[in-house]
Amino acid sequence: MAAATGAPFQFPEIYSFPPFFTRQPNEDTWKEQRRQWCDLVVAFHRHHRRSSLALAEAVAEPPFANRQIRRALRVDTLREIVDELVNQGHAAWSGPKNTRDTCLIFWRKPEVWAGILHRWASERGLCNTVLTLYELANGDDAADQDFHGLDHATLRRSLEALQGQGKAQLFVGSSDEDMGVKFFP
Amino acid sequence: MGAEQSKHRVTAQDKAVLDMKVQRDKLKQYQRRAQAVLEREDQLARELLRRGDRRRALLALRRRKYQQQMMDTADQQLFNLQQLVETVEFSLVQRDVLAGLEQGNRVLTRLNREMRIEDVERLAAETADAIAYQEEVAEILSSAMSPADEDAVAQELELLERQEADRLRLAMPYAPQHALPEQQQQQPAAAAAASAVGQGNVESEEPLPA
Repeated sequence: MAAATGAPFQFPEIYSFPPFFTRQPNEDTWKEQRRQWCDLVVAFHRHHRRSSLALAEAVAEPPFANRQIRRALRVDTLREIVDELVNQGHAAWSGPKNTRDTCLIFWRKPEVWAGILHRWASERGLCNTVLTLYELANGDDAADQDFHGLDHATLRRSLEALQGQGKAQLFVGSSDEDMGVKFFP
Repeated sequence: MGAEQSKHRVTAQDKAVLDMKVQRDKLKQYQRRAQAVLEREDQLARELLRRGDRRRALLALRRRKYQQQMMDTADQQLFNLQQLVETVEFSLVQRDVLAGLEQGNRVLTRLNREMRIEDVERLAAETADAIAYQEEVAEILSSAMSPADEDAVAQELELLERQEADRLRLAMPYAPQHALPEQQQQQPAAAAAASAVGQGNVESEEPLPA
C-alpha cells in the first residue's frame, strides 16, 4: 500500500472530545457517534490509502486512540462501528469466519473501484486482453493510477463486482493463486 | 445469461497468456528483491571498508557482483518473455482479423451466389421492357383520347365558357335570369309534343322583349 504523502491527516474536532471514545448509552446519541466514527475511519484510511484493519491492535493507535487526551476506543465498540461500515458497504470482515477480528476498509467502495478500473482498461485499449492482478496493482503501466498499490483483496472484490456486470472475467492459469482478468467493453 | 456467456470468453490461449504474464510478474518481483539486496550489499561493503575489514568487504562486493549478474540474466529473460507475450497477443489479434476476413468472404460469396449474373441480366431486360411499355402507354395516352374523354373535355370547355359568360353578364338586368328556369321546365313538354319546335322557339324568345 502506498504510504501517505504530504500533509498529515487532519483529525476532526470531535477527536479531541473525550466522550467520543466511550460508547454513549443513549441510542440516538450512539447512532450519531457511530456515524461520525464511520466517517472518520473511512477518511483516515483514504488519507493513508490503507485498507486492512486488525481491531485489537488498532485500538492502541490513532484514529482509535488519542494519546493527548489519553482516550482509546474499546475493541467491542470498534467492532460495532465496523459492523455499521459493513452494512454501508464500506468494509468487509476478513479472516476466519465469525471472529470479527480483522476487516478490510473500503475507503472507496468496490463498485466505485470497478468503474475506475473498467474506464482505465477501456482507455488503454486493454479490453479482451489478459491482465494479471499483480500488474493492475503493481505494474508500471498503472503506476500513475489511483488503484496503484491497492490491496489484493479489495482489487479482487472490485473485479468481482465488475464480473457481476458482465464487464470482466476473473480466471486462473495453471496455478490457482495467481489470478488474471479479462475486461470486456 | 451474461455470466454463462462470459465463462466461454476465457479460452485456453488466455490461460496460457496468463501463465506467461504471471511468470513475467514473478521475474519483476524477483528484480525488485534483487535490487534491494544489491543496495544492501553495497552499503555493507562501504561500511566494512570504513571499519578496515577488507576481507569481508570483498566478500560483500562478490555477493553484489553475483547478484548483479543474476539481475542481468533476469533482465534478459524478462525481455524474452515480454516479447513472447507480445507475439502471442498479436497472433491472437491476427487470428481474429483472419476470422473476420473469412467471415466477410463467406458472406460475399453467398451474396454473389444469390445474385446470379443471368438473373441480373434477365431482371435488367425485364425492367427495360417494362419501362419501354410504360413509355408506350404514356405516349398513347397523351396523343389519342377515347371519344368519351373527348366528350368530357368538350363538356368541361363548355362549362368554363358558360361560367365566363355568366361573369360577364353579372352587370346585366335582372329579368333574363328568370327566363332560363322557365325554358328548362318547358323543354321536356315541348319535346313530347315533337311538332311544336317553332312554338318553343317563339316562347323562348318571348320573354326577352318583355
